[in-house]
Amino acid sequence: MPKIYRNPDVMWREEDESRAQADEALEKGENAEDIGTSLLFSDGMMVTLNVLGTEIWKMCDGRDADEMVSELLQQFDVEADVLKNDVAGFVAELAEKGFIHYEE
Amino acid sequence: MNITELKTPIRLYWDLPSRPADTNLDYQGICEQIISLRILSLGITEPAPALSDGCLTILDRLKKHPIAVSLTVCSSALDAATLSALHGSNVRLLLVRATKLDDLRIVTRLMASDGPKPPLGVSFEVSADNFRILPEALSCCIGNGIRHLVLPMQRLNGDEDCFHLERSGREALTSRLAAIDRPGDLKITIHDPFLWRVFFPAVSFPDGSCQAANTMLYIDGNGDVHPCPTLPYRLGNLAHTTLRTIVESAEKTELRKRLTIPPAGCTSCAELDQCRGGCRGRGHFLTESWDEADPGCR
Repeated sequence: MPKIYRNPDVMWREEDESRAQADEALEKGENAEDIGTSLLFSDGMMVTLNVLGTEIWKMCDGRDADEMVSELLQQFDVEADVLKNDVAGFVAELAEKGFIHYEE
Repeated sequence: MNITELKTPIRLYWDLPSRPADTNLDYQGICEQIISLRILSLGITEPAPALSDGCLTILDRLKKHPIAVSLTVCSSALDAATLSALHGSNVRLLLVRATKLDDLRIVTRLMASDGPKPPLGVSFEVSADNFRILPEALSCCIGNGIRHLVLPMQRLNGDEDCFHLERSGREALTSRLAAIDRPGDLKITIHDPFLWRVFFPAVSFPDGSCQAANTMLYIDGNGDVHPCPTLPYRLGNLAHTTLRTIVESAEKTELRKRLTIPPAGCTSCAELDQCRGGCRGRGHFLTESWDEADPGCR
């Protein structure tokens, strides 16, 4: 399974207040899907990620998709199959934008 | 899911003084603020004919931090030693100022020169004198392997003329530009929403709406901080206050709120959802009102 790496040309930062808001929502069992918690910026394009997207992005440091899913299952209360699909879809989207690359 | 309004900008444009000896700004201190605010992108413009000590201080201070630094300079500032030094300073993109086709040929020569250098591109300053040669400039970039073409934001903080194209001029340019095949790896950066449409009629403007005082701020050569290079509205001066204080100021927040409301003069326009009020800086500069449409849309 290929390792996944962030493109070093993509600048990013977490937005502390939004992250705190998302964490609070998750603690209450509420949906935090619509709360953007980080920004990616490259070539004038800004992309917002929610809390799950942010955690996946941070794991794009040489881990493969299975390793990501296994770690995320410890953080998020979600079905493994659903999460696997979410991770695959999200990573593919990042690859299409040139924000990550794969290495065997 | 989106974050549309930011407390802290992600990009900063910083024009250094044209007479470096005249400034008393604490460049190291400003860099500390840029780092602590976690600005992601810094576009420095060096107007002096050679790189100033201030410019080198900034580059040195930021080179180990995760900030994408681009530098716009006059071609006279670039020799082999300077190119090599800039390569070592982690400059992500080095843009050479250009207003005519001959300037582009200098970039080609620099790209062909020996030795390490950052990725090179062109900052083509569009004006009433040269807008007609935009198709030739684009062709020249493509033909000579230049892969970064930036049409920088107009600086309206001095006595400069404010340039904008009428609709008929835009349409004529659009058809000439459409005839040019563009390679997939050519990156064109355009900040004017109406010029964007001239180059990319079928693609939405990447910034969406005006980003002044939101994702961007601008520092001019005197250290005055403005919402955007094209919006001469002084939020503070870095000789007297910190960048963080300006970023967190009520004045900046209030101005931003005002900019999120489209000009009253645009509310009945069918194109409002595309142009979102156009360039608010140019609109305000030319009409002295927040409620008038950007004359650049006519």
